[in-house]
Amino acid sequence: MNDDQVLDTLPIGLVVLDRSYRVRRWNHWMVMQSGLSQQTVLECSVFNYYPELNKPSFLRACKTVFTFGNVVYLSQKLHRFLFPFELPANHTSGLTHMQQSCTMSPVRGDDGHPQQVAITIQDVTDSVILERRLRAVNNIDELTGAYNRRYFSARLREEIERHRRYNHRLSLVIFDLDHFKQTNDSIGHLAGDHALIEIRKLAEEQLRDIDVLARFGGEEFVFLLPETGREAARGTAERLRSEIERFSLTWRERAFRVTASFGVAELNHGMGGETDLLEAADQALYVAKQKRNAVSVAGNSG
Amino acid sequence: MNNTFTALEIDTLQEVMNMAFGSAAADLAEVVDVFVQLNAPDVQVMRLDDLESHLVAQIPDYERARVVEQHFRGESDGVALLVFPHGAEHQLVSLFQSDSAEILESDTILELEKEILMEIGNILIGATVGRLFDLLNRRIGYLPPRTTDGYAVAELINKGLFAGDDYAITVQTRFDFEDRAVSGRLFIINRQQSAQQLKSALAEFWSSLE
Repeated sequence: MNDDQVLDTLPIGLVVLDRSYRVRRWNHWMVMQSGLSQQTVLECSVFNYYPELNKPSFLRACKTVFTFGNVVYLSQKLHRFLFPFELPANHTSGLTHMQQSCTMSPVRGDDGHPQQVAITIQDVTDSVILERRLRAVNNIDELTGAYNRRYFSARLREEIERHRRYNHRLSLVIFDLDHFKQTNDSIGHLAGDHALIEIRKLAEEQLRDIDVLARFGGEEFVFLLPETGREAARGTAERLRSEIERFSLTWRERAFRVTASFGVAELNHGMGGETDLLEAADQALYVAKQKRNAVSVAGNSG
Repeated sequence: MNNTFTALEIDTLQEVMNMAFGSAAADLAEVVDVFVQLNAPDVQVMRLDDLESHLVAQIPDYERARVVEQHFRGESDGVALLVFPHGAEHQLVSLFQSDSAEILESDTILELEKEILMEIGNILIGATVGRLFDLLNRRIGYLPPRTTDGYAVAELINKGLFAGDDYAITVQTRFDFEDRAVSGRLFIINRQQSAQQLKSALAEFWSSLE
């Protein structure tokens, strides 16, 4: 078997480019994925067929290989893919392109200097899908579909770090369904579960994409509002309180309503971190709970 | 102990490092398209056992430091550690942000910062360590980089990858990326059995200068 035949047996892509980005090798895997034969691409600039590669990150990686002779690793997490191979339209993962983990290594000439770059392309789409599923299981509250407390805590730490770095405003709202035990006792726990799911949907309608909503436990939810001061956070909480109050729930043809109480707090310089912010919101919630169906802001009288 | 380096060997190592870092700075600027300044490195050789206390003394908040660890194999066998102070990755991210990176809901920003730090580390280690061994005419290959924290050195010993009497070449330098002053420190740890190879390489280099 000659070298080309050996390379064609590899279950990964192999592309070799020279210093002018002309294709010197294009193995069978690449032919199958790209639909371009070796004869078509050999000696041509790779940018003729993949202009998407003509971008700073790829050019930087090539320069690194040619200048320093070291191996560059292009991770899927950061780059998603190098060659844009589309996945079938009916792919159920929601991904549009094959996810790739790539390496770029020097091929040295007789003088010992890198003359070409060998690029390997590994299809890691299945691993990415599996990782996403595991993340979802790990991060999502099974009943309501909101994020769970574990995920929320991680995001809260990140947002607090960002707040400190860029001095952006950050607010947090905890809300709790009023008299939820009575709802469970009188209409049934399944009705209670149904209410939690509907409240999650109502809350998501009021929130932006950058906000993070999580079920904090039992009938308690929490949401994080990046780039938001306490007055704007109070406005969001008030709108959601009003929506919940007006919303008519139905379980097995029996209509019922719930209300919720809200505690709002904004992160300020006097606070140590996530615990202080959560405690401030929780104390505001305690004040709101004295009235029920109310919003209370930490640091305000009511 | 056969890993003791003579004064001449350490001077030669300093000289090679000066040359490696001098050319690396210009090449780095071309590769990353930003002005990179590498200060003249300060080279010391110490036992791995002593390295951790050295790091604790030198680097504020060392346990939370971000470390890019990259092993190399070949005509020299060891690991390069690039130590950045905690939070340095935030300053470097905007310079190296991937143009194709889209942040998915399932990713966290911190994970992406880690990936970017690995790419930066890979470039810096390739530029400096790679150039060092090029000058010494020794061929090495790299394993993929990984990021870890200030426990990296203790971990290398605890996992049995290196012994306390293996030696570390500490190369203290400061990387300045345009207006972002980021102090990075580079450490090269070699196995005891590579000591003799390095000494031979230094001797060859020294005699080539004569």
